[in-house]
Amino acid sequence: MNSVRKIAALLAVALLVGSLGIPAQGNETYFCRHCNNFTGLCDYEGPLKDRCYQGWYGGEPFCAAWGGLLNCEEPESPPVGLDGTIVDASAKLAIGKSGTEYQRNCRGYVVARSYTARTAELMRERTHTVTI
Amino acid sequence: MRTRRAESLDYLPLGRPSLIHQSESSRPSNDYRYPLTSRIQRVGNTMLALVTAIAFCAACRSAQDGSWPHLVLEESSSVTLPTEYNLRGATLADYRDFLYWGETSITRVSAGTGNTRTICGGRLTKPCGVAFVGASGGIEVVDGATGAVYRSGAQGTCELLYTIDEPDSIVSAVRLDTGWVIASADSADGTKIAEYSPFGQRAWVASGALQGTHGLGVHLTASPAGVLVSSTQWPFRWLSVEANGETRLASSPLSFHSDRGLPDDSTRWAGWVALPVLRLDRGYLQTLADLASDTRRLVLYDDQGRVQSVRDVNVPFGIIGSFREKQVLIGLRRTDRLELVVYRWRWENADVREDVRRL
Repeated sequence: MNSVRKIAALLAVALLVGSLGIPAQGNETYFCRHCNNFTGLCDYEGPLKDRCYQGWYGGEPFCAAWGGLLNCEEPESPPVGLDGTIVDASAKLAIGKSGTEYQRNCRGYVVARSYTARTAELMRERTHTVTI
Repeated sequence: MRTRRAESLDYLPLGRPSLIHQSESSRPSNDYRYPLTSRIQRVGNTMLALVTAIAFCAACRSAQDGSWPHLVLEESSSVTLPTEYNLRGATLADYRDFLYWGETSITRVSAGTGNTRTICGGRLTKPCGVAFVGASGGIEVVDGATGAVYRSGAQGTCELLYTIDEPDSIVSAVRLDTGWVIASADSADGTKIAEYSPFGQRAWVASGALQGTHGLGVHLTASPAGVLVSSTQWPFRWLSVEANGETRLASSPLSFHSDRGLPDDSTRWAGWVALPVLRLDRGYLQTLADLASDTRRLVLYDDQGRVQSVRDVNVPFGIIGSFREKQVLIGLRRTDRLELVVYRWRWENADVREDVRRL
């Protein structure tokens, strides 16, 4: 009987912890989260629902949402190339069936792009002569 | 469909999408469902909208064409670079030889043969200004990390000319006939611009330019009067600074939007960056880039820095250098390959253009 009670108590605690969105220890995965106009990399994929707050706590940015307090960091400004593009050398984007494929970062900026040969040729033609 | 719309943008890219959208949304999906009077009324409304749109476009175009011709860029040659090359700058020796540089190295490439040669290999930490100097084909280099200014000769030599006294904060450099002009962060929150003679003496200095930039995200380009200094970030302000350090002109591409009641606030332009402002034989040209898409906006200014025309192109490319005396521009285009593209420019007045269109 005692063991049943223990299991029930553990289950209740687990449910409580889960509903509060407390991050699991040692979770190294970061998730891109948007909280009002805050965009952050958060260390726990907690819920960000209808109530969403942002601010600073102890000098660290945080993003608080209904049911969870997330430790989030604003991603660093990406280096932008001379041509006004961001290139993430580690991103490998396969050429799909559609003309254009994008990979975006946490801010929604394109960090890798791929075009079919036909689309790329059209783009070159389009910029062969430009009238302003 | 989105691409087709972007392609159709012409001279008034901010006005046309809404017109196209209205035209499409007002079209009934199934005409047979509507009574005859309703259909006539809809056709009438559509015709009225079309006539209004045509009149509006014609009025806008004539207002523009009356004061400023169109700039036409025509590709004349290109060189393919390694796809993931992090380009920091490029220049042109003549119509066949490019000089381009990345984070640590400078490469000279012949567009005709494709032969390449490394300039001052092993001596550079962070090249931030490279230029052909004189008729002999000599190349000068400013190393932003050490402040060293080198000269590379035709035989591949690399000689130290002098060292600039504030190397830590150099962010950009451009060579004029009279010497190097250097942009660096100043002690306030702006950008300091100084010119150094060919022997390393500081000729003049202008502090506090482009407040709020902290010397970061600043482009320098040459102009006949001195230099053009521009900010990559909103509100994309730029200045024309004369060769004595005095500011002659201040402008921003967003004046075009504010004049027309269009959004020019930081939220609207948060994901955009500005490329260098380039002097043409008349007026100036600048590219704005949307980091979240392939949209690039080419902005043409008159001699007073007023926006005369804009053009949206749905291709990740930008114009990064100009050679006024040769009427040549250098562009960088990123499709399934990365290319340096040489454009020749010419001017076309409105009447000529309309004739061409009728053909």
